[in-house]
Amino acid sequence: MAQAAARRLLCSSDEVARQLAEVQYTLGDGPGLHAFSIGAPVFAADLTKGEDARRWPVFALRALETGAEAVFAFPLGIGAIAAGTLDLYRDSPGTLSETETAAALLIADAATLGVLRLYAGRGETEYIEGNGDMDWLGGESDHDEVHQATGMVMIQCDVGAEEALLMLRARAFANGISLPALARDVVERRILFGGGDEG
Amino acid sequence: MGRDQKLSDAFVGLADTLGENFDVVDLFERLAAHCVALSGASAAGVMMSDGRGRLRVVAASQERAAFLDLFQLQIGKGPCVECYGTGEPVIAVPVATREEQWPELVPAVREAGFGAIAAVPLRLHENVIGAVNLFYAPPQPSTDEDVYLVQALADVAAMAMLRWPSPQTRPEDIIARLQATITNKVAIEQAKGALAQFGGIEIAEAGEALRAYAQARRTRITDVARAVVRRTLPLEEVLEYSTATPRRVVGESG
Repeated sequence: MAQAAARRLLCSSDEVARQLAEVQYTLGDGPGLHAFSIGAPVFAADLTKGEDARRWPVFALRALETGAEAVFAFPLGIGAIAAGTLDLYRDSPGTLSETETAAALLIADAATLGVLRLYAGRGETEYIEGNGDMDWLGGESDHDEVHQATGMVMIQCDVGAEEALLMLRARAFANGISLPALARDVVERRILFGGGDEG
Repeated sequence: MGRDQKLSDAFVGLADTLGENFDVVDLFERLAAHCVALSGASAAGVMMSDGRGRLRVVAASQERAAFLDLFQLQIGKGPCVECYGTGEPVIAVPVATREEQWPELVPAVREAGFGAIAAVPLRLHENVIGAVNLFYAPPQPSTDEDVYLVQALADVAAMAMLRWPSPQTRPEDIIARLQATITNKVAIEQAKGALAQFGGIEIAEAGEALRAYAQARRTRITDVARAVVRRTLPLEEVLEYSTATPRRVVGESG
């Protein structure tokens, strides 16, 4: 699972993040694990009292010991692809503003790609040469065809969805076209992956 | 079936959140379908805030690319964005009158066969969370009555999405539910692609098989979709519920 500590909002040491991740693994429960399993953000804006403290009693106690009083867990993933979570901590209670939430979601999007690429298989080589747009934050995820193409390439190449997505992005980048445009070509069956030349 | 009966069935259906297989994406697909069946609109789509400052389509009454593109063209401007920003409906507007304001959208709307568009806010109490987009084929006139009806349907659907929010419902619960809806929608699209490729059928046909399988097994469409993409469910099992003729024989991939 990926962790991060953004200094402005949160505790400033990765040690805290590491400790709290360990607590969750040991307990088998916690906001980050829950966010991962339900595929939706989980916010515990006040671990010192109230609903959130009751929901995560042991986690809350440990969190407070390390100085974290609020936790915001964002799943990293794209549809059924689940890559981990981004757990943000802050040293005082309080909810995230709309702007902070939007920023965190965008950071999570970028982190998702980062984590997927850490575990990438063959998909990466085409990034070396290419002049396409590598921007995932530009709303590529809004196009249904990108996701449909992911499913198709998964089957065409007999790989997991994560790898299929990376292969699509790499090909779009190498060809200098946008991911949605490539995805449309795949969905309309003008381009077929799995011919053995993706390597 | 009389119109009153259809209306009544629509509201009851949207409000039914107790079934085990209650699925939020399915809820909004049904909303879009009811909007078309009960208003003068020929097509409808539901857009929702993605939490990052954009609206994203989560359900549409037509699968064709030319129609779905009309939602893409509304990034930044268009009836849905206006409606989302003001919280007020954009009552059916002949697209000819907005050519200057929506220079890319208007030709595409005409090309897709529509002459007028409207948007109604998707809202929870004071929070506007998205918009329902309606498309009218000429010479169908739009009526103000449509707006009231679609608003009422949209309001029920929004409440159902949150499973009947109360004053104690926190903003983060709404955010979480919106994010989950979008994630579920993406999973369904991924699954449709996999099924279409595996079975040699069209994307839309794959969607129907997914829906039929979920209904028959009394599970959520989203859960089936996730299992398909994660390969914990054999695709052949889902494809048994397809009524489509495969375009070609599909064997082992690679």
